[in-house]
Amino acid sequence: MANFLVTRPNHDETTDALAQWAGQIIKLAKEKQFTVFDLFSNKATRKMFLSYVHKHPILIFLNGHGNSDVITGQNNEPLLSMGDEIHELVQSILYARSCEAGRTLGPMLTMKGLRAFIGYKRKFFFFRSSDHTTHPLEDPYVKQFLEPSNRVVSTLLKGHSALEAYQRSQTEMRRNFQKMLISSQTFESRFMAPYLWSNMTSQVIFGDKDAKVSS
Amino acid sequence: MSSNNVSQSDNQELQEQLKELAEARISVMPTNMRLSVGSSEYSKEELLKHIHAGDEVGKEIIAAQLDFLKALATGAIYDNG
Repeated sequence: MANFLVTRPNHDETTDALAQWAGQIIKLAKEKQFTVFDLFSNKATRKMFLSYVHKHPILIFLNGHGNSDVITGQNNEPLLSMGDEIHELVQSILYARSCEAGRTLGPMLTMKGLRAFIGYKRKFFFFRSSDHTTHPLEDPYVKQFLEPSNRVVSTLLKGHSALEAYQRSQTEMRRNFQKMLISSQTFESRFMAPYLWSNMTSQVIFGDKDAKVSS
Repeated sequence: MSSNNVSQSDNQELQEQLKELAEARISVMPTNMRLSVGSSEYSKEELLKHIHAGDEVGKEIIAAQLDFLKALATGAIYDNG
C-alpha cells in the first residue's frame, strides 16, 4: 500500500479548523487503501515529519501556518523550509494548505526534485462563524473555503493527475465564488466573495502536472 | 516640485484612497464573522485597526479587495476558468 502523510497541527482556531477538515480526507484515504501517517496535534513536529518522510510517502498534505519560505506544524515549529534537502520527496506530490508557500518554497522544492507541488502564493483566507466556533465542520462559512481546498487531495486520492486535482479545486472555488455573487445570496455570502477569489487566484501548481498517486 | 515628488504624492493619495475603500467595505462585516488571515483570526474591529495602521494584515486585506474590484472591472469574475 502507498503511504499518505498528513500534518494537522491544532494549536489555535485556524489550525484547528484546517485539522478537522483534513480529517475528512483521512477517511477517504483509508477507504482508498492508503497507509495514512496522521501527524495530528502534538505529533506535528519536525522530528516526526522527517521520520515519516523517510518512509517515502507518495502524497503529502500539509496543513498549518507558513510563509514563502517555510511551512510549520504544532506551535509553529518549522516542518519544511527552503534550506531542506529531502531526497525522499522525489516521488512525492505535496499539497500545502498554508499561506504563501507557493511563492518560493513550492517552486524551490520542485527544482530540488519534488515531483509536484500545489499550494498558495498569497495568504490563505477563510471565514468562521462565531456560532460554530468549536464545530468548524458544521460552519457554513468555513465550508465555502475548505471544501474546495480539500478537493485537491480527494481528487489525487481517486487516482487523477496533479493538474486535474488543481483544476477541480479551481472549478469548485469558482462555482462557490459565483454563487456568492448572486443577489439572492445572503449578505454574508457576498461579503466573503473577494477572499475566495483571492484563494482561487493565488493557488498554484509546479512540477510534473501528470503526476498521479495510487494505493 | 519635481515630477518624482508629484508621483510620490499621487501614489500616497492613491494608497490612502485604497485604505479608505477597504475600511468602508470591512466596516459592514457582520459581527458574527471572523476572518482567518495567516496565523490569526480577526473581528471587524481588529481588521479595521490593521487597515488603518497599514501593517501586513491591513495590506493583505487591501490587496484582496483591490484584486476583486479589478476582476469585477475586467469581467474576469464571469469567466468560467
